[in-house]
Amino acid sequence: MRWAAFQFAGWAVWLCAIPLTLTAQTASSSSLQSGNAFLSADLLAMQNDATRNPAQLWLEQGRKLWGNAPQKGICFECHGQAQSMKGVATQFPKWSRTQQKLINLEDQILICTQRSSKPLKGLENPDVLALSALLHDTSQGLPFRMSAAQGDEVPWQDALNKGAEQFTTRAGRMNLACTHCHELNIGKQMRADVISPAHPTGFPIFKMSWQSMGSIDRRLRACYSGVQAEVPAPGSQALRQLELFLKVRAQGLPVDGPSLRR
Amino acid sequence: MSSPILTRLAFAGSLKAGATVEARWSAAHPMDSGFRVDDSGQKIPRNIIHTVKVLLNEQLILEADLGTAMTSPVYLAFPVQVPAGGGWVRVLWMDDAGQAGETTQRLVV
Repeated sequence: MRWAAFQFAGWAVWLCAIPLTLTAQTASSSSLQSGNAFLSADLLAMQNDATRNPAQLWLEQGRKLWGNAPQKGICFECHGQAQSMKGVATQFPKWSRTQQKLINLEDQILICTQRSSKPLKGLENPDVLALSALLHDTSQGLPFRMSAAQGDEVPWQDALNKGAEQFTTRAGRMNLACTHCHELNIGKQMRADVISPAHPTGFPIFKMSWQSMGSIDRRLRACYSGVQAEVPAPGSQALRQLELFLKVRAQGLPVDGPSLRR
Repeated sequence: MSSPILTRLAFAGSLKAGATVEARWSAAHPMDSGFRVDDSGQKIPRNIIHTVKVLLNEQLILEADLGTAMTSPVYLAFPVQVPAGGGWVRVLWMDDAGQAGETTQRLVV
């Protein structure tokens, strides 16, 4: 009798354990979703059709700016074919030792163009976004690989921690932290939008409501304004730290930018 | 403001002589309708692409007067019959600020 009871207890433990492990598994795989999974069928069709996708305007401009011959003062002169930059977009934001701060791909493009014949200004400059779109396009399908360069582990980890802190700190008149929407309410409706897990794989994005291309910097600022918090200045370290945290969080997902958003 | 207006012309369909393809033209123009105001309350003057002309091998095939209800980026789709031997499609545009531009794309048969 006692043995039977023990056996029963053993089964009960097993039966309880099975659904637990299953939910844990589904939670972890469904939480790694690209923003594209939340697009409507119409927008997805538009994104997949190069003749209709508005992001192609910037992509084409990016190719034009990059050039395809070693002319003086253009990207091609130093970097060669744009295809040789494959994988570059998976590594930003990086810790810049010379500037002692985190820089993302758009920052790097701005730094780079100061040496070229066409210095650019402003993160949301259409030419900066065009080059960013091109570089993301050449890395499409490759997973994000966020890591600190040798010797930069301490400041990099510090920046990552600050990003994580922002993600979980309440802000604004709505008194919400990122985590309240993008972790606890994924898949639910927020007005006409479905809340995504905030895996920033699709940047730069063409956002319909902006009627333009925009960088992750702009999109993150829009979130601050959405919860009625003080919006950080464009290019501020707070935004870069949050971007780093979001990309570490999305590690394993492939780059799929430039993409469309509602 | 002074940055150039990005435009693009693409064809959808099979490019065979005699076939009709859909030409899709888009332009990342701000298309300010004239109804908006800036942060200081001043009206932003209307600046839209008001005229679009399409030439196929230098022959006018379409002329459009656009209004303030056009989206930004502007998107126009129109049928083009591919001539024998192919040719060039040119889209010419003009906006209220006096800026004009052109997008040229080859129809390869």
